[in-house]
Amino acid sequence: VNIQFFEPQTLQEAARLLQHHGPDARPLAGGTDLVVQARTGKKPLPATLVHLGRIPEMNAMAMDEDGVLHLGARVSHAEVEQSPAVLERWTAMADAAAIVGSPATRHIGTVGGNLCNGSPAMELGGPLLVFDARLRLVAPESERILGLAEFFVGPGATARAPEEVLAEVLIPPLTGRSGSVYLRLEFRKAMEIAVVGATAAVQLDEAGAISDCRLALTAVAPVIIRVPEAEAALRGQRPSEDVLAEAGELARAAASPIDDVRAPAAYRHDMVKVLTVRALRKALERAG
Amino acid sequence: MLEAAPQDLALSNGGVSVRGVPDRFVTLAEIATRAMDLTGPLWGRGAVETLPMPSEAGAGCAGRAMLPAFTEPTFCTHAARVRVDTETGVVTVLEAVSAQEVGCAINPVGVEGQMEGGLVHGIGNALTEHTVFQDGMTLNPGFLDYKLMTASDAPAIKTAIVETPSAVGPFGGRGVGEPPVIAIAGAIGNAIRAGAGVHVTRMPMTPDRVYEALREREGRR
Repeated sequence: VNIQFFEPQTLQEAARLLQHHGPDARPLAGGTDLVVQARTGKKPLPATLVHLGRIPEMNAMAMDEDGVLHLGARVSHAEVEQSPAVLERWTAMADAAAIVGSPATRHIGTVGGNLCNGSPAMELGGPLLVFDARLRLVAPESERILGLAEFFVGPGATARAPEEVLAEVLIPPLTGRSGSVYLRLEFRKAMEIAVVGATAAVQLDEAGAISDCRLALTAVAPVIIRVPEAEAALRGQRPSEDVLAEAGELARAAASPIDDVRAPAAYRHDMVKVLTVRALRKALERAG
Repeated sequence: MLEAAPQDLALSNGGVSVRGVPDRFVTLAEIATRAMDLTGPLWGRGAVETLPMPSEAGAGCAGRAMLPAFTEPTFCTHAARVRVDTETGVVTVLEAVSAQEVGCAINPVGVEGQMEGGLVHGIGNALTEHTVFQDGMTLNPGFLDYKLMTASDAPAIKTAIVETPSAVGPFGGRGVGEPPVIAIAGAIGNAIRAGAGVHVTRMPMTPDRVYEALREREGRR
């Protein structure tokens, strides 16, 4: 198989290459999805690979003066997992990055690759969704900022146009007494893939009531989803097991899991409630 | 039960019948049940001489040197301590013990390694490993979805080597690698039953099956 391989030095050059080579070209970040999909016969490698490894700004992770975290799309899961800023503020993201695949996957797999692959089972999607992350997409002559919820279109499908390069992920600052967690149902301790995942982020007011809450569910719908009904039910409440159980029930109702080789739909449905309640409990503990 | 002389009895089809009178038949289960009432549990003893392996067989994995030992019986006992997450059905093996008759432990460290590796493989058999077919196709042909236990999943393991030399194996050795894969699933199933009160009767005992069994028990209460 002849595959053309390009290593552009700038975002615009990468976008131009993607545009020039059309739909047969794909951007390559860590390759942990692209190459594995080709090896297992799911999707052959594209005719043209545009490797993004030589674009310095894509590898950067920094906080700006407004407290917004700029996460270059080429930042690896391992870098996210070990980042003091992430561990301190956006804890759910560290939880997620720490359990992606294997150590090898985490060192070479990237934030941008995880998002652009568009799997409803991706680990980083839930945390980034509850943190209201936005994406900077660069085209040859323009660029745009898109909210993550608008980016997820379906299983394996995103709003990224073929000529667009995901440059970075922007994560707004968190305020007040807040805590967040990503929990994944695990059948073994390593090399797992989400069968059900839940992300919870809570903020408490001075009296200890829940002033804000965000919930996301992983691998139980065509895309990773927020659960506004459960979030609304929690806002203003003082945390109690009854309140959490009610939110878990609303999350369960919002999920639409499928039957597959990993688990039956009915089991996944029930686990949504269990994972949601556990994630909320842990997020409250971290906020406390 | 059959009112016949022992020499007129024939053992077949999971029971005993009177020779020439096939209608007069009792199952082994009926006999065992009756024995419990009358004399106590059935027990017996026996011996078998292992047959020599045909000389043309077994040029494969272990070569001819090990071959004679393949027909020698080996015995092992496994025990497991597990944690059952009753909300999710996820079972974690915390500790596993294997006592195994190995013939002569020619290389004891190697023997222990095989017992430990076999146990971890057996835990996978018990809890997560299964091939899922649909229309003749395997749906989980890779190790992402055919779930072996990983090194991180290995529990604390204790091994006990029991040496009862084989008459035919090299230096009295017996096959060591496969027995530790087999019995641990039974130990795990019994541990789940002891701890969580449910008997999961299908292998592997995946979280959804354990969860289903737990829910059925809740329903019966």
